[in-house]
Amino acid sequence: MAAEVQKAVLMADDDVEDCMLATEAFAESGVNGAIACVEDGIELMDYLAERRRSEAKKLPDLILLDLNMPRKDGRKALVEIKSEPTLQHIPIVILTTSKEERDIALTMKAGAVSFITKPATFDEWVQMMKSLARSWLE
Amino acid sequence: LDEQGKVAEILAVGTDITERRRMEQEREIAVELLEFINSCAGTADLVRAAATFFQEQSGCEAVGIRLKDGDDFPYFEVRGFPEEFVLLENSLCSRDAAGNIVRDAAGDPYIECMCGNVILGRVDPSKPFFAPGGSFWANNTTRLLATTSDADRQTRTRNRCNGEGYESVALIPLRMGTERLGLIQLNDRRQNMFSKDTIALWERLAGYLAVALSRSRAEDDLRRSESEFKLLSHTAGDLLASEDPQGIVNELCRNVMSHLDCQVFFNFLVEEGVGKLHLNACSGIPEEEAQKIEWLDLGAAVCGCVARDGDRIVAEDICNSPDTRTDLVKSYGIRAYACHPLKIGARVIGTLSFGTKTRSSFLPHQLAVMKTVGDQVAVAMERIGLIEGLRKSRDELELRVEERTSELKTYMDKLEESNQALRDFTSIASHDLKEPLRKVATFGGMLRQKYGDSLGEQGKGYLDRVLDAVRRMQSLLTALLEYSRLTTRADPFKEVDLAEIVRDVLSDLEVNMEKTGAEVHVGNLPVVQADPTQMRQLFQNLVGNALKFQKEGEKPVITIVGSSENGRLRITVEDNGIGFDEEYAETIFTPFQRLHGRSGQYEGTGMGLAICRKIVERHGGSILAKSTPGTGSSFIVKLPLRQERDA
Repeated sequence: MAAEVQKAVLMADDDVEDCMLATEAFAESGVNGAIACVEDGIELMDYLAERRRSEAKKLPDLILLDLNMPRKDGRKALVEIKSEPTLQHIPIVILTTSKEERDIALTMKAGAVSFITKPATFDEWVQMMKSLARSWLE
Repeated sequence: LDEQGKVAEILAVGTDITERRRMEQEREIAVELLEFINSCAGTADLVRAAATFFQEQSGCEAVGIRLKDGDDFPYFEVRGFPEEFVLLENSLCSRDAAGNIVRDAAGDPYIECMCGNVILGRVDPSKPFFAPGGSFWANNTTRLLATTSDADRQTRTRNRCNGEGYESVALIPLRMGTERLGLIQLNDRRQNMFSKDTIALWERLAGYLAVALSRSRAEDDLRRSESEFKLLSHTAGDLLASEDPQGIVNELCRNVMSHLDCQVFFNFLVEEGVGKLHLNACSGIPEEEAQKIEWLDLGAAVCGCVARDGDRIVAEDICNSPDTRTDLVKSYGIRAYACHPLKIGARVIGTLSFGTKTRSSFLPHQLAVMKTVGDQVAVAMERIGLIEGLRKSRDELELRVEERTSELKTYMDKLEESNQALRDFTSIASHDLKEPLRKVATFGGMLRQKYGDSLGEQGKGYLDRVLDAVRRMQSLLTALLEYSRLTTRADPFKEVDLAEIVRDVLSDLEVNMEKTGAEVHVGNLPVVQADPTQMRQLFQNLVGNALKFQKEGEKPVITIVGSSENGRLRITVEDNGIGFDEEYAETIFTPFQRLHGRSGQYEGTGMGLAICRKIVERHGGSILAKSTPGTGSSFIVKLPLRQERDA
C-alpha cells in the first residue's frame, strides 16, 4: 500500500463547513490520499497555475467544484480549466447545493464528469467519497 | 252718283278712305309687332325690340318699359331718358325712414306716382287724362299739373317728368288678364304728341306685347328655376365632396354671384373667443378694401349685426337708405345687399352676403337661393367641424391610450421587478436559508453518531428535538418554495390526460396504499388543457390527504369522479376519513393553516391545500371542501376544459 501513489483531491468551495465535512469524510472513507481546499475560482486557478509550474508538486487527480462562489464562480472556472490544454485532463465533479436542471445541463456540456448535490448527512458524505474514489481515483 | 250720272256725294267716300287707310296702317303696324314678337327669343330680346318699335312708331324722344321685378316695377329698358332721371325714377316703391318698402294692410307694396296708377289700375275713366284701356296720357303736363290736384290724379305725383321738361307723356299698361306685368312709357318734350286714337292703338299693341311677355317671363321663370336647381345641386355636391368647405366658398360663391347678377359677396366666419368676424372669402371689391375689413366687430355693419343677432338682413335701395349699417357697402357702390347668417343649430358660425350694383332690390327667388347656399355652406362646415372634432377626439383617445399603455408598461416593469425580487427571494430561501439548516442537520447527525453515548439519555433527547425541528424547518421551506414556484416557474398549458395523471399519482402512493389497505375507485377523467406538473401535484396532494387523514383501524375508501358540463370539468375526491368541521372549510386553503397538532399521525406543513388552491386558480378554476367530522371529506375541483390564453 505504501508504494501506492497518494491521490490528491482539490475542493473549491467557499463553505468552510463543507470543506471540513469533505476532509473528515475523505479520511473516514479510507482512500489513500489527501484533500486540499480553496475558497473561490481565482484561488483555484492560482493553485492550479502554481502546481503546473512547479515540478516538485503534482496537479490534483480530481477537482470537486462548487458552483456558487465569490469573485469567480464554478461555472467560469470550469470553462477556463477545460479550455486549458495542460489542465483539461483533470476530472471535475460539480458538488453543489443547486438542483437546477439548467446548471446540470450547462456544466455537463462544459465537460464536468458528474453533478452531485451536497449530502444531507455525514454517512452520505462518506459514501459519496468512496464512490468518487472508485470512479476517478483508481 | 245721281240719276244723271254726276257725282252727288264725294266727301263721305273720302272720309271712308281715310279711315280705311288708317286701319290698314294700324294693321300693318300690328303685323310688324307680331312678326318681331314671334322672332324674339327671351324677355330681354323682346323688350329691347319693343322699345325700338314703340320709339319709332310714336316718334317720341324717350321710351321706357317697366317690368315687374319682385315688389317693384323698375325700368327694364329705356331709350332717350337722361341717366339721372332713370336712376331717380327707377323704383316705384315708397320707402320709410328706415329704408323699408311701405306696404298696405294686405302686405302689397304701395306703387307710387302716375306709373303706379296705371300699373295697378288706379284710374278714373271720367277724367280725360285716363284712356278707356287704363292708360294715362297728357299732351301738356304743365297745364295738367296746373289744372288738377293730387286727388284728381289719384296719387301724389312726383312730377319729375314735367320737371324734366316732358310735356307729352303716355303710360300704357302691360296686363295679361289680372296679371300686372308693367307699362310702356312714351315721353316727349314737345306738346300734343298723342290723340285718343293713337293711345287706343298703343293700348291694343301693348296687349299683344303683354301676351308675349307673359309667356316669355313664364319661360324665363322655368329656365331660371331649372338653372337654380342645377346651381344648388352642384353647390351641394361640391360642398359635400370637399374636405375644405371654407376653401371652396370663394369659387362656389362666384358661381352663385354671377347667377344672381350680383357683383359682390362676402363670407365672414365668427372667430370664437375673439368676438370678431374674420373675412374668409370675398369678391367684387379691391384687395386693399378687403384688407381693411379682414376683421369685423360683432354688431358692426350689416354682417356684424347678422352674426350677432342670427337674423337675415336685406338692405335694398341702399342709395336712398338712411340706415348707417349699410354705409360700408354703399361705399362700394352696392345698391341692394342681403346678408344671411350661417347657423349650426342656434349657433351662428358666420355670414354669407351678396350685393348687386345694378339693381336696387332682390327678387324672392334670389333671396331663396342665397339662403339655400348659406345653409349648404353651414352644413358643410358643420360636417367638417364634426369630422375634425372626431379626429381630434380620436387623437386624444390615442394619446390617452398611449399614456395608459406607457403607465401600464411602467407598472408591468415594476411588477416584473417585484416578481424578479420574489424569484431572488426564493433563490435566497432555497440556498441561503436551507444551507445553515443542512449544516445543523449534518453536524447534529455527526454529534449524535460519534458522541451520542457520552451525551446521556437526556442529552440525546434534546439533540433529537433539535434535529426534529431542523427537519420540520426544512420541509416548511421546501413547501414554501414549492408554493411560490407555482407561478414563478410555471410550465405552459398543454393537453393533459387526467386519467393518466391520476394513475401515476396512485402508483407513486402505492406503498402507502398497500400499508393501509386503501381502496381507490377512479371514474372517467377527461383530457384538459393544463400544466401537467401542477395537475400531478394537485392530485398528489388531494389523494395524499385522503390517505393521511384516515380513521385508525379502518380501511380507507377513496373515490375520484369527474363530469363535464358547459366546457367546465368537475372533479370530486371523496374519502371516508376523519373529516373536519365545516367551519374550517375555507381556512384550510390558507398557507400554513393546520387543524392538527404537530405530534401524531396527521403531521404536515399546512401548505398542501394552499398549493392545491393556487394551482386551480392559476388554471381559472375553483376548489372547495365539504365535510362531516367522523364521516369523511370531499374536495370539489372545477376546471375549464380549455384555456383561453397561456398562463
